Amino acid sequence: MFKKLLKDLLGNDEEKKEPQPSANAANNATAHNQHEAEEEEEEEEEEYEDNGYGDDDGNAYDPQTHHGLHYTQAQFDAEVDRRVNEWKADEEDPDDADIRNAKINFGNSLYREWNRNVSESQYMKFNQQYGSTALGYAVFGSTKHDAANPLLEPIHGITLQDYAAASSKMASGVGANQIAKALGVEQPVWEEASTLWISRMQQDNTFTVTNLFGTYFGESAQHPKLGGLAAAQSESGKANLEKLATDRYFYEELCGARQAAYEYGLDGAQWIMENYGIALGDFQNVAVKYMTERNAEWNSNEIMHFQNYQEQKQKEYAAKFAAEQGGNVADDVEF
Amino acid sequence: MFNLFSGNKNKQQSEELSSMQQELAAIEQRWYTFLSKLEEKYDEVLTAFEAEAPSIYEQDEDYAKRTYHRFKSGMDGQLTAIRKKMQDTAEVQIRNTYRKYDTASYNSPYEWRNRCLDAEHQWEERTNAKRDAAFAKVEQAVSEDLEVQYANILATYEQIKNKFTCTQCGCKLTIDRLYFISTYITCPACNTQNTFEPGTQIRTLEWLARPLAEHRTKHLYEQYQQHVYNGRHDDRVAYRQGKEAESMYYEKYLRAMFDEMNNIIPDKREQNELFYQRMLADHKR
Repeated sequence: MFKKLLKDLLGNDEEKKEPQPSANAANNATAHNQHEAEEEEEEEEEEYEDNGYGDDDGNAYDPQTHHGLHYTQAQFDAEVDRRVNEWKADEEDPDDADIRNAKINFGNSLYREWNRNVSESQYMKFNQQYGSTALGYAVFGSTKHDAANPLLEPIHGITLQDYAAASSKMASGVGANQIAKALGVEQPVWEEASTLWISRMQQDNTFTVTNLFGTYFGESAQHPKLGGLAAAQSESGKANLEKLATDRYFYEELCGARQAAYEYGLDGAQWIMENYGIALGDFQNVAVKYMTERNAEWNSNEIMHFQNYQEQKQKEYAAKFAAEQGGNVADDVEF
Repeated sequence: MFNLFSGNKNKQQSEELSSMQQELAAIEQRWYTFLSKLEEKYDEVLTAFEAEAPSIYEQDEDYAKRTYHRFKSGMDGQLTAIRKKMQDTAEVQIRNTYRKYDTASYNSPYEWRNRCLDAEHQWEERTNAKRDAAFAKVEQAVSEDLEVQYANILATYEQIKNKFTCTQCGCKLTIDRLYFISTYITCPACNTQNTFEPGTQIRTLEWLARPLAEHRTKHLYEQYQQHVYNGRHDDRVAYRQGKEAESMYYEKYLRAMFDEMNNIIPDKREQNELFYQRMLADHKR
C-alpha cells in the first residue's frame, strides 16, 4: 500500500529513477488518501477519472495554491523542473516561451497524477492559479496586498483602497468634490492622484494593481471615509439593489438585459438605472462580489448554468427591444 | 419464390428516393434565395451605417462619443440578428433535414448537405469581410475628427492661458503648460496658491491622447501587422527570424506611438515611458 502511495506521489512507473518525497511529506498524507491508495491497488491502472463537476472529491487542498496537502509545493516544483529539464535535453534550442509553456503543461499533468481523484472544479482552480503564476500574472480574488510593492504605495496619501472606493462611488453618481472632501484633500490633489493611479495600472504587467483595484472597488461600502457616501436613490432602487446582491438569477437577468440593450443601440447601464434605479457603480460592486465568489469556489457546472440562464434572458430581452423598435431589419425575410 | 416481393420493395424505395430528392431540391433552391435576401438586408444596414456614422460622430458633443458608440452598437446588433437568423434557419432547414434522411441506410444526402453548408460558410465569410471593410472605413473617417478635437483644445488653451489672475492680489498668472487636470499655480507676487481649473473640453485631452497618437501612427501599425509571424513553430530558424522581424516592427510602431503621446501630453512623459516598457514586455512575453 505504502509503495503504491509513493508511486502515485511520484507519478511515474520508473520508481527507482524518481526523487523520493521527504518522509515527512509522505507521513503527512491523509488517512483518506491512504485509503484511496489501498483501493486503487485492487483496481486496474486508470487514467484520470472525473468525480463530477463541482463535487467535493474529499481530498484536502491548500486554499491559496490549491495543491494537495499530501505533498509539499517544493516537491511538486522539483518534479516539474526535473521533467522540464528532461524535455529540454531533447528539444532543439527552446526559447523562454517554449520553456514556460512546457512548465505549465508538465505542472498541470503532474497535478492530475499526484491528485488522482481530483474533481474538475478543483483542477480548474489549480490550473488558473498555476498558469497565471507561471506567466507572472496575479489572479483576481486571490491577489495579496504586498505593502512593499512600490506600485501599491499611496499617491499623495491616497491609497489604492481610497482610489478604488472613490471610483465605485463616482460610478454611482457621487461627485468628485464630495470624494475629495471626504478624503480630506483638495481637488487638484485628488485629480492628480486619480490620474497617477490609472498610470500605475497601465505600467503593472502582473495585473496586481488592477486585481486589487477590482477587489477594493467591490468593498467600497466598508471604506471608513467613503463608505457612507451615496448618491440619492429611490426606495425601489434600494430594494432592487438588495435583490441584485442576494438573488443570482436576478443579477444574471439584468446582465443579459444590459447586453441586449447595447445590441439594440440603447445605453444598457442607463436602461438599468431608469428601470430598476440601480447605478452603474452599485451594479459593478455586485458583479465584483459574484466574480470573487466564483473564483474562490470554482464550480464549472454552476458557471455553465448561470451562463446559459444569462444567454436565455439576453434572447428574451433582445426580442423585447426588437419589438419596441418595430422589429429587426430582416424580420420580413422568410425561408 | 423468394424474389416474389422484391419488385414491390424496389418500387417503394424508388418512390421514396424520388420524393426525397424533390424535397431536397426545393429546400436547396429556397435556401439560396433566402441567403440572397438576407445578404441584401445586410448590405442595407452597412450602407446606412457608412452614410450616417460620420455625421453622428461629428455631432456628438460628448467627449466619450457615447451617442456614436450606441449607434454603432445598434447597427452591429442588427447585423448579428441577421446572422443569427441565417444560422437558426440553417439548423432547422438544412441540418435537421439532413439528419432526417441520414437515418436511412441508402442514399444519404451527403452532397446536398455539403452544398448547402458551403453556401452558408461562403455567406458568413462574405458578410464578415463586408462588415470589417465598412467598419474600418467609418473608423478611418471618424478618426480624422480627432485632429479637429485636438486643434479645438489647443485653441481653447490659447484663449485662456493669459486670462488667469491671482485670487488674492489680482496679479496676472501665466498658464505655461496645457494642464488637463486641476492644478495649483503659485502667484509670483504674493505666493498665494491658486487653483487652475481647465474646463471640460481641455480635460478630454487625457482620453484623446492615445487614440490620436494611434491615428497618427496607423501606417506603422499596419506595417507591423504585415510582419506578424504566423508560420510554423517547429521550423526553429524561420520561427526565430519571423518573430525577430515582428518584434522589430512592433517596437518601431510602439515607440512612435508613445512619442506622439508624449508630444500631446508632455506632463505624462514619465508615466507614459513606464507604460511603454510594460507594453513592450507584454509583447515579448
